[in-house]
Amino acid sequence: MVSRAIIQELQAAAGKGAVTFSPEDLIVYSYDATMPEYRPDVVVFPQSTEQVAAIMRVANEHRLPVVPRGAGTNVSGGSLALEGGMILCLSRMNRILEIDRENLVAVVEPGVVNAELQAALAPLGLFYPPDPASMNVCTIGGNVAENSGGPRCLKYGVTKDYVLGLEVVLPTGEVIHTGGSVMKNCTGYDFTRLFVGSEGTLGVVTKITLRLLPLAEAKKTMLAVFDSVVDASSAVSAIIARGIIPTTLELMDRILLRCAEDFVHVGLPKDAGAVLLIEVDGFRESLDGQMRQIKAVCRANQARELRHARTSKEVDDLWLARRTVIGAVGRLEPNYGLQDVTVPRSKLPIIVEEIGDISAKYDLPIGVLAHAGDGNLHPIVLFDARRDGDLAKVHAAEKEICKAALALGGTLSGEHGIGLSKREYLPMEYGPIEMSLVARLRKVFDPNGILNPGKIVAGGIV
Amino acid sequence: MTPVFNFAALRHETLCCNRCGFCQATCPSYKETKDESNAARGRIRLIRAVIDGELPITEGYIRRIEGCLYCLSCVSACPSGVRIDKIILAAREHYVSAKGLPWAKRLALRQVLPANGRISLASASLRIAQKTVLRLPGADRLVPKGIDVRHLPTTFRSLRRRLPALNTVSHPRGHVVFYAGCLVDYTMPAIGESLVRVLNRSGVEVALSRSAQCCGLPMLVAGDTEAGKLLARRNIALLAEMGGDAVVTACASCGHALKELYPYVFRGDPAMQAAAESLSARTFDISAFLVDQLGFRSGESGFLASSVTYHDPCHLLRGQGISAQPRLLLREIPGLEYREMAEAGQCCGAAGFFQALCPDLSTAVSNKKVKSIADSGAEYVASSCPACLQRIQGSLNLAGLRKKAVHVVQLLDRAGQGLNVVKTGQKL
Repeated sequence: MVSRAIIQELQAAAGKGAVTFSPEDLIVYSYDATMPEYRPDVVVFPQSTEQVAAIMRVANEHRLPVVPRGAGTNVSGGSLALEGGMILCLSRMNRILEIDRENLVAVVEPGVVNAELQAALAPLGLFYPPDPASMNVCTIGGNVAENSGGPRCLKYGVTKDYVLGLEVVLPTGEVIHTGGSVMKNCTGYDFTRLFVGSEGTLGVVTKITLRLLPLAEAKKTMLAVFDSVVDASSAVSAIIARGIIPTTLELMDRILLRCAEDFVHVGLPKDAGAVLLIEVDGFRESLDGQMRQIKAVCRANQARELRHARTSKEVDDLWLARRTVIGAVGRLEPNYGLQDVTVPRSKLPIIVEEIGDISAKYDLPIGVLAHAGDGNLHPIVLFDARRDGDLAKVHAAEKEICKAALALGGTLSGEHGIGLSKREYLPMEYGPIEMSLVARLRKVFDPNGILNPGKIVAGGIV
Repeated sequence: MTPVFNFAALRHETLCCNRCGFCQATCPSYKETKDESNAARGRIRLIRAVIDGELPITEGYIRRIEGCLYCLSCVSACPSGVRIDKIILAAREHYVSAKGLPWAKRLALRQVLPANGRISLASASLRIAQKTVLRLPGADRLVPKGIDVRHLPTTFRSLRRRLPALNTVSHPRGHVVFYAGCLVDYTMPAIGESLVRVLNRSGVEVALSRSAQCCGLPMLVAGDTEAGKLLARRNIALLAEMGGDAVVTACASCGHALKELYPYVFRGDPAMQAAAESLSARTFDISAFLVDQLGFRSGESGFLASSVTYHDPCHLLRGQGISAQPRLLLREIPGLEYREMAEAGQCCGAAGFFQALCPDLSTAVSNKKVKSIADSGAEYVASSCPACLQRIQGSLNLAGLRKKAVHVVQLLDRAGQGLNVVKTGQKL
């Protein structure tokens, strides 16, 4: 519970209408896109950096846990109020402050929805490359906190490659600025990169300077259909080994194809073992040559069919299927556990086989979705939490997937972060010294441990 | 009363929401407020809280569930296929049966809409007010902000008084029943007159269901299921008795009720459900009827030198799955330039009583629509629902834009009359 006095201080900091503690609001801010729920004690909607700073000072003084949040589409439990306290919802700080065409830079507030930024940039012939599947709803602030990726990050890189500068409110209420609108910056430590991917544990980002790119002249999109998921992943490794880097190289296996098709109805091959959604972009003349090479590799790896998207509607349909598939698994089972392991790209066929073995061992359907070109997999374990024993099996299976990835020289998370869901696995990848460094680093920024306590590593308010 | 919806059994349906959050991208009220309890995901969670006894039926709960415009956009955007619309209807029925309706809604839903004479009286009274009280200085304070009450369509002579029961032609090629619905009949009869003329010119005779009643959708979406079902029963019986090759509607919401909601609310009552399904199968939106059943080609019937954009009514686009036919009809009118607006399928903000109960939110949503219309540069905005037309015209007026919102059949009618030049702002 938060005392009446603290509520009043928060109201003074953010305005009366920006603070809510009604049971209805606390219930709807108790979740993100993962399964667990933790009820906060208060939800605050700031609209300026000054308000965020004032709010943080109140919270710090009273040792009130603060969980920054945007659209609540976090897939690692990072925006859950694990220790109660405050949800600091930044969705209403959603102005695009500047699009600087001369420097190819945009300055945005954290609550700007990724797709809204894209929509503002496209008429200017520009784009911001990171494109998480949830781009129609997720916020740039959330993307920065999680160092989000997306399909086209194969060619273009992830969020950290596009954040040039930040304005951050520290847990103690001070406002700092890192980086800026310059393309090179070697002044001191790279604080910007420290905050990108820090999962809301080091500071609250209130302004973001982003690097933009000119839109490619043209693109081509193709669906390669395979009878087996292992063949599809071998094709991916072979494409990369040939030195070809398409814009996207997305893999969906049979389970996911079926869910996607049942939602979008665009004629995806429901009987296939897997498909690769392949896109290339660049100068018009260069695309046919790239596609020719890719097709040859696919055929050599037993692709049974290569379908070109002919119209922009066909392209959109394919991407709609891919972007919505994680939600669409709700058609099979009400719950899912989503992993984010990443392996060296040559190891993709091996990890895919191992995931198949784990699925058989635990008798759980595991859909394989992957930003395959990056070696970044999203195995989706489907289950029903109401069925006895399912949850325990799911945990065991997920742990084995993580172990398998690490054994191949991989990592626990490619783009979703550790948050709460993968916290217990972190010591499998980090040794005791790294674990202790995490705690010490946090203490430097957040002496009282109020910011997103219990995420990445266990621990709470000091 | 027996609830139509088994509220407790909905728990499973609420659990099928795996909280991906994609509904935020389409929900008009979320987009305006950025408030999680205003997105489908949040509403579903609150409904589950009430089912589980975690939350009592509070005023705050009711307000949040009422904040849904029933635009169905989350339903078509939900990757998991959760029927949020049905969950919302059930939740509303649940709290209305527990707490009753607020008096204003009770008056409208229980006293006025079920009695045709009173609807007629209400329309005429508002018309008198528009010509008197509402012209006085300071009258603004009497009406909800953002709604152009002064120019809401009203009439002294309803459609059923203007037209005979049977509008026949020599050697008719077909006989249809026109279910006009309250808004067309009592506030925008010109739409009905146009519809009859267009069908007559195509050789189809049109019977008017003179004792037809409100379709019941306002009651059903307000959670007064019993009142809605009563009207549904009467309409089903009346329309069965009237026969004909088809029933046509010019109101997207009435069409949604007849085609989709009637069979749904009579689940578990085999005889009524069969009757409702039979009516559903032979009910058509006028654009779909003209294109799919009659093979009507607007290219062969007249000329209209102007430009038009089209707004998809929620209850036609998502409520009946119809978007191509009205556009085809408009595109083919010779002389008429068609310009697609941005986000044509986005709700106009009307949402029945919603606009009166939540005027600020409704107006914010509506102003987005006005911007899309203005950006299209078209002279006319056509649509297929009198409720949308009323809301859009009012918002256009308040924005000072001299553009006309018209029904698709009104443009077909006008083109067919061979009157080439229609200036913007001229009465259609």
